[in-house]
Amino acid sequence: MADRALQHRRVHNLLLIQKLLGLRGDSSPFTLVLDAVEQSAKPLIRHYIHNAQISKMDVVYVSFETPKAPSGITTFVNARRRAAAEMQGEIASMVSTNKRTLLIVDNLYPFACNTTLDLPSFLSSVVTPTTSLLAIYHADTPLPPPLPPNSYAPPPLTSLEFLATTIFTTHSLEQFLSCKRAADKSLTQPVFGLEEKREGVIIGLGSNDPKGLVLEMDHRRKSGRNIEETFFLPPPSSKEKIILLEDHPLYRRSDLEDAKSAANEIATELSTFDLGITAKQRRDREGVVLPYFDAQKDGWGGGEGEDPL
Amino acid sequence: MPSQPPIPPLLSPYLSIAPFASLTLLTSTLGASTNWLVLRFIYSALKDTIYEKDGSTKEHTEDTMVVLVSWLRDGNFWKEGGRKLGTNFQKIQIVDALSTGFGLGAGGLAEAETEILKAIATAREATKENGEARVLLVLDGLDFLLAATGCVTLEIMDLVGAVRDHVHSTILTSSADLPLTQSPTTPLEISHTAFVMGMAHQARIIMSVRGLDTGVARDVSGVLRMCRGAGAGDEADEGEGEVEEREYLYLVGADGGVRVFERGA
Repeated sequence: MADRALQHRRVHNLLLIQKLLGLRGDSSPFTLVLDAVEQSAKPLIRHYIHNAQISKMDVVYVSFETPKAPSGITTFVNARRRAAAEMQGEIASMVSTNKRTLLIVDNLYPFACNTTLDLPSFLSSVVTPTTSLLAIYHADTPLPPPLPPNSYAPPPLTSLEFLATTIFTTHSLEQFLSCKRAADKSLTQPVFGLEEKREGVIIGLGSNDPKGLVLEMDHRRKSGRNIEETFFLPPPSSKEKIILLEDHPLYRRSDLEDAKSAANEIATELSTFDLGITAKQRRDREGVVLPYFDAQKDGWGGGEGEDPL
Repeated sequence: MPSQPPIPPLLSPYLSIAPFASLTLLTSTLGASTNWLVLRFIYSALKDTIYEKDGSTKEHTEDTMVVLVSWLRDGNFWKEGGRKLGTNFQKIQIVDALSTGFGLGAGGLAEAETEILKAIATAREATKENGEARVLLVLDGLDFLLAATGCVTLEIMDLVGAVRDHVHSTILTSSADLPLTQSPTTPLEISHTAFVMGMAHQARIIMSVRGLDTGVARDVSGVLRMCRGAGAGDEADEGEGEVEEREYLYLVGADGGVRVFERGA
């Protein structure tokens, strides 16, 4: 039963993530990516750019922190030190009305810091029916405290999460796995980076794992129902496909099973006997005729050791 | 001459010239400074050979110039430290921001930016006859401006972004003490955390120096942690210099020599 539920989830959610990454239809007009230094969202962005290229979409990259244009994009907009209103005009001019466009903003922090800017209405203004907005928000960068007129306004992240049709959260595979291993054994889960609360440590070991990343998805359907799933996203350069995290070999393997198989191995290695038998031995054993074999046949019902005649 | 080799063997793969447009972030704490690391980065950039990851070496093909801007130490300090290693100072343009105090006066950050760009231009000029030189920019203690002028984090990040466009690669040092990065509450703590984390998001390698967790020891100066930053996968530079994550201990001797070793070694 559990297997069938998993199979069902696998089929549905993999189709959904492929649709989202492939930017098919208007699956998600505003995708918000929450990342941290432990796992940057850059590999995910590369997947998106790659897929947009395949489907011949325009890619407009608004850069606040990327010094050189990533390969595969159509337009690179350097947004550093530019007023939001100016950006709005420029983005609007870049986005054509008859071709589908992927608009990427590599860091929402400057917009979020801007106290005079109404972030929700700004983002709504740049999204048109033909554009999909993909924006990164660094969850570990603190914002300055709000100034008096906005003191009671919700923080920008809250309104972003409210607006977004899909929210991705990235985790490093290595760190995610070590947390899971600890949880399997009911141990305290390890913490990384700032969470370590150690002087001078800002990033944990095992960050930005080149083997791929763990992607947590929260997709909101038009009906309002949300779908949550955790995926494993392989690095953009590899030929692997995105899979459910549960299907990842390193995630599935638990230490418990490891210990069991290891114990079995040790048991067979230590004993001087070979407890198993070969096929020939089994056949021979079946062929052996035991004494008083006839007594077990039906109809005779003879007593023990008694001569039937 | 210090008793140790100028570049500790374990560190050499990390010190070779970083790819184009990359940022290296060095963080320090009050008890453990990054000065020795900065000096070794400069020394290694100006040396004629590049250490490859597999231990082999190859010759520099391009000329390299270093522009060192320091807000926390004066020119003499760096010169003395560099001389102990045997660094060629003709290829270093030192901008002594401590003595001149630029960026702090009425000119503000704009003044600091003009000065840095001027120094970069001078460094370029100096090697013009030998063709285009790669410029390595070292910004030491830029976070001091954040504290001293009370400017907005975004302005400083924009400053870094603007000067990065003009150089081959950038090394930035910043302090990352406990109150400045962990659960910040005051405006300065918040803006400092935002600055360090913002830079970590752009950095290819983050090298953090901190004191020993168990307290002061005579034979260990501190712990050096090297991590892939969030900017590591920016471009398809996989394969060329993948950063290996490590944590080593180091000891800075009285003569300035540095020994880097594994835990328990």
